[in-house]
Amino acid sequence: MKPVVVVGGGIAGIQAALDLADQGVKVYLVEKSPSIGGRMAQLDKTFPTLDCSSCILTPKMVAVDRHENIELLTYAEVKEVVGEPGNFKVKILKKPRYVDVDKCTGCGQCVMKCPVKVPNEFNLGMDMRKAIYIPFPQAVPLKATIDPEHCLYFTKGVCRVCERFCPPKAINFNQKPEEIELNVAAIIVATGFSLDDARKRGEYGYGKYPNVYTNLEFERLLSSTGPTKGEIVRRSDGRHPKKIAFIQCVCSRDELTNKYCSAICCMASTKEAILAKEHLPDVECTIFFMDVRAFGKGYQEFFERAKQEFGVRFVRARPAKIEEDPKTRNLIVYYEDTETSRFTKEEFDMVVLAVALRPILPESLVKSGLIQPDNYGFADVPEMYIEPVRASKPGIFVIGVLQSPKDIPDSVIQAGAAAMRAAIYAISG
Amino acid sequence: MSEEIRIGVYVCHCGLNIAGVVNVKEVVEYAKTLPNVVVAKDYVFMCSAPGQAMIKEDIKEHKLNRVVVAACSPAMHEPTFRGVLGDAGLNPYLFEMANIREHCSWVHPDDKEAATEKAKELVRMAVAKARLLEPLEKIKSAVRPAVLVIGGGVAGLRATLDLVERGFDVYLVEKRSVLGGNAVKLGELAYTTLTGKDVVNSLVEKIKANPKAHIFLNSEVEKVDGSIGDFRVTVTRRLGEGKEEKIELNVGAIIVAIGYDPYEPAIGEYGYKTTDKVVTLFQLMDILSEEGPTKGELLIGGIRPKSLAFILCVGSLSTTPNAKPYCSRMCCSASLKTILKIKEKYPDIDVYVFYKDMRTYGKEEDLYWKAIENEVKFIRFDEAPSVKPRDKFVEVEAFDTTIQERIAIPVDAVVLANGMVPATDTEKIRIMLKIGCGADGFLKEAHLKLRPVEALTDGIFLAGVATGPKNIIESIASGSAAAAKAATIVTKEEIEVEPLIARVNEDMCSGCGICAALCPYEAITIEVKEDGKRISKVNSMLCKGCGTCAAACPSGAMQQSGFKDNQVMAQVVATFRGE
Amino acid sequence: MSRTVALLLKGEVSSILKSLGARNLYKCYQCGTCTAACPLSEEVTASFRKAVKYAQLGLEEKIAADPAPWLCYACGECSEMCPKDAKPTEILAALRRYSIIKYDWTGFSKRFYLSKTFELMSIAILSILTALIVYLFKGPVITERVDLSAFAQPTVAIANIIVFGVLSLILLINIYRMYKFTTSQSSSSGKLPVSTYIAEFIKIIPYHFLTQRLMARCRDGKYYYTIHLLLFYGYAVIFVHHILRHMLLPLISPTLHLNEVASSIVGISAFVALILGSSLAIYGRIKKSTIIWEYSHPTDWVFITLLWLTSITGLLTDIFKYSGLPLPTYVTFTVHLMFVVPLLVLEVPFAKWSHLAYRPFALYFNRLNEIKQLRYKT
Repeated sequence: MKPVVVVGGGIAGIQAALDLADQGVKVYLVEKSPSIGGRMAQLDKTFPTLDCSSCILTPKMVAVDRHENIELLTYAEVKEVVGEPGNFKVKILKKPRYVDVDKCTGCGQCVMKCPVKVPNEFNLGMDMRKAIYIPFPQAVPLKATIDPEHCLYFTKGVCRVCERFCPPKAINFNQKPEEIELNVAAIIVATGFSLDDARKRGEYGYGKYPNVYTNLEFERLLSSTGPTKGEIVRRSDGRHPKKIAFIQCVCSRDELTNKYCSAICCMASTKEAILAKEHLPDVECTIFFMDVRAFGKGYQEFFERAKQEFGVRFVRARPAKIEEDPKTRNLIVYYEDTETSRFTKEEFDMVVLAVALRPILPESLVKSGLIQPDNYGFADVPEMYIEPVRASKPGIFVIGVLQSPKDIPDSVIQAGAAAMRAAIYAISG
Repeated sequence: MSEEIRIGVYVCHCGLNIAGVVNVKEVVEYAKTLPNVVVAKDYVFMCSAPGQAMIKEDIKEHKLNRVVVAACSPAMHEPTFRGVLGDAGLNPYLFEMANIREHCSWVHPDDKEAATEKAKELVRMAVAKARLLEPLEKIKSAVRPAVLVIGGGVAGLRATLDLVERGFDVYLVEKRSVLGGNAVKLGELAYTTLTGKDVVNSLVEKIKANPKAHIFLNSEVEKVDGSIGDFRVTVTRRLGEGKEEKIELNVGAIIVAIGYDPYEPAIGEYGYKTTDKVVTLFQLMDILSEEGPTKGELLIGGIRPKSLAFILCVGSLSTTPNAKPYCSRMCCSASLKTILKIKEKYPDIDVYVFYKDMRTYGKEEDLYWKAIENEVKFIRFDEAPSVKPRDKFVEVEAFDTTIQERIAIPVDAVVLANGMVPATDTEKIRIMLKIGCGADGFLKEAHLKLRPVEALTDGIFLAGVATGPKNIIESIASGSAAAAKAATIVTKEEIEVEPLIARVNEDMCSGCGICAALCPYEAITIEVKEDGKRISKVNSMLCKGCGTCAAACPSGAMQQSGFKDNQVMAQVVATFRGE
Repeated sequence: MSRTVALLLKGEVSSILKSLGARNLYKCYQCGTCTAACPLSEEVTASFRKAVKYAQLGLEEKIAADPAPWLCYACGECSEMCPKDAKPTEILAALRRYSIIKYDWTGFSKRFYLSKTFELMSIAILSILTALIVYLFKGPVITERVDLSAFAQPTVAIANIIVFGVLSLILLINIYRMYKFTTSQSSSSGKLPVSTYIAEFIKIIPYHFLTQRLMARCRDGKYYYTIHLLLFYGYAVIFVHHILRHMLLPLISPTLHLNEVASSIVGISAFVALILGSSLAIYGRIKKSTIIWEYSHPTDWVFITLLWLTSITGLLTDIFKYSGLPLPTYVTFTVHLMFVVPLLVLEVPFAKWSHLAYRPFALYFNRLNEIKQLRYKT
């Protein structure tokens, strides 16, 4: 039996790894950042059940870490792939953490002592982390990583404070990148997505007006592990908002940016509006939408609940623009309610933009033609009606948002499907 | 039983997660004062390799026979520490965990003193329970390396093909005389000239060529006994002339892929069946298929319509009193792809679409854009349109919310985009397999987000529309996903389950049956012994250890291993009585 | 109460609209961005999105009743923000052309807009007819000095009567029809007192007619607004000058004359304004320099070209006249008339130029509807 490589440690990659490992197949799970978890780790709660996202994800992350058939390669990237189904050679570059992971206990002493503050990616730059850091409290593996771009030792040749304070003496500034070559039967790619740049629709003022947020930023605001520890406060003045507008289809369903529908935003915003109401019972939430895409199981019911039980207001309109009141930093949303044909300028004190999902295609696989981008830039699935997760090349599987915008259950289903198909290659390999 | 109880208590700092709030040293000192505690220590990360090694050494050195770790949630590291006990030669179930992170430091960061007191109490409770812990053994049972797939639609077919290619025997049971289910009626699929039938055929050919696949047509599952790893299944096959045969199967896992029925509008609902000019989308797709009644020519009520009105959400989104509250997910896209195919063949046809919300999610948005570009006219309603058959045409009328006016359109024919409802067999299968279903009538998955193809009952998996509306691509993917889950079972020779389940003290059991009635997993049956005594019996493979039966048992005969009455009571007492 | 609209089959309306410039009509998915993007939405009640929907559905009566297209000054803001690239600016322009067709009771507009041959033929015929009339009814051709009055007097007199009488009448009837259309689809059936009609007329018509203030509110509208003002006032000055000089003053007393120097300065500068304005507009349309000029219907070209030719020949006539060149003066003047007549006869009541009346009146009728709706709100 030959092993399988899973690229990307978000929920799709995690699930694919587990479904393979549980079948007795050896799996290498490659993740480019220091911890697995992916986007789901950044979410507060999930629709339509309102499960706490990290509460249902963390056990899976721990299961990956503990599984005897899974070898976790975090802070690593696939550099090159050659071969044929059943026999791929995969070159993986493990970046140096400058921390000996066998020694590091994740105690956080180094993080506390490190003098350098850097915008925190996990919280989308809304707070600071240190140059040596553990990405988030539930990180797997729970190990520190030095960011050489900001570390004083690497930039100025001084400091080494972390080294002095590390109890198990795990800091190693001499670590070198490591190249690993694997021979595998199949490759499952689950490299996920990032949000498109909301500045492409400049009329909404993202990046210009402080109280305009992306929905992922808003998730971090809601989260107890977020920059405000779960308090919804405005960037401009730290006040609680009284009126929040959620604007759908920002850079989605849009000729200028992305023509496709991002599939998850309607429900995500509905959920965020409900959570905002739970955090701040007096807050008024308005969702500007064109069509409510509540298509999944329990979604329509969730949407009805948002309206009736939580009093979330839904307005069928795509706002044209937002202007800021420079004194109050409030935001004036211009829209035509298409169900009354009335033009309105309405003032809100916070705006959340549901920004489109953009796939992240692994360059090494695209370059070698193993994955081909489709018209929109997602990974193409040529045999979608028979093998819905197979990439252009047999033996390569593409799952999750990488191949089309989708929610967590659909990503998990595709992960299982890819695990099944990859396992067939693994046992005959 | 007379063995001396020797407990070791280990308090974790979890970096600063716990130690930043709780005074760990104080907790350790307190633990040392508790009865039977022979050693108490703290460490920065108890779960780390050095932490684990420390516990192992202590077990040997101090002859510990119980271990308490005060750290994070047992969901996180209980298996880790049980493994430590096992490695040190101790029964892994002589372990208790006190959660002083989630239950203490994380929720009381502002009151360090009180948090420390609470941590002490949690440790005291854990020690009290630990004293009464008993060794338990994991339950093992042999696994049959075969899978039963119920339903021969695309999801069932995909699952079957995957599993036979993976090397397992699969018994595919299909009620009807042909394979393929509803997919064969879908006609040409979007973005391709491939038809639903082509998809079915390509799967069926490969399945038939594989000797591991055993197909039973005209057959229904009659009875299922046993549990994960070892289901005993009775299948009835109709042989014609009223004859039938019974087939006994023995499988390790079951995949339920029973599909759906197209929603059948009531007579008169949107004029359905009051005129031959009103057809459902499924009927239209059949008309357009080469093998259909008109050999693919668009004829409705005997004429080639020059104008067509599509009404979406028929049977969905509570648009009519009969309609279901949920969204059927595929009808928007299926309607639009059908319209585009029609427009390609008959460019002069006028098409009107009455819709409530255009739900062409993901890349399917493209179908909507193409339909608009093809001058399909869209009328948005909140309240269902009315359909009035006239002499020569049908009038469809609705209040268009986008212009706030009523619009009446005379058309030659009306197509009702009917949604999906649970297959008629759903209820029967649900009861037979003891799996749940939701308010929408579809089968219920173990967890909507993260376990979408697993039933709540172990060893049973769900694929396709059985759990809720999906398009053909999603159904096929879920077929593979369910196959993967089944493979994780049947690939093992033996299955192990946690011993933390309910057990009956037969001497005390009066056979009242309260437990059997309450068990949510149908794991308990009432058996009559030879002497006529009724006692309950727990199927250890089905029991999830939820404790419902133990709590309800009036005589105390039912006990939950690992949470026996005396163990739990000791904890409760320790909560209120400082020792 | 809303009525039920029976939709006519056949895509006739939509194919007409497409030929009138609504190139991307079947792109719109009704999001409302256009209405919300419009700088004028704050001032007028109109749904541009709804206008587009009417067009998509081909609701003839609704289109003719909808003042929204006339409230659009084509700044292009909506086209720029439209997520579907439906170019609402162009759709609204097409709807204006369509409305002109609908308002015109003679049916002449429809043929003029839909057939390029008809358009050019009617211009040609009018030109030739004009030349013929000038030739037949010309006054004495005095060659020792320039005496244009003598040369042109009889023809100009005939033209005055035809142009100002007949054409104004047609235009007035069309405006009345516009009024009937707008009220026919009004959602409230209540009546307003005559005083309201008068008061709103006084408030709206002269002010907007003279200032075109809404246009100035358009985004980046200043440049286009300036050109438009040049054209408007250039024309208005010539128009008033002409009326004064050739109709009013002679009527009052044959001895009354305008100061010749002042009169020539006024005339020449007005022509210069017109030439400048129309040249810039032609240049803009060739370059497609702004969204408003991205699409040009054949009638747009005809209008602006006629205007340019009219102005050039008008200016030349003046130059020759003041340079004391009798023959060139008479010839250029004849040519001038050959452009003026089609321009006025075709464009004012039947085509693009009719917007000088429809625009302020649309505002007026829209305001009346707003008042009605406020008053009879249930």
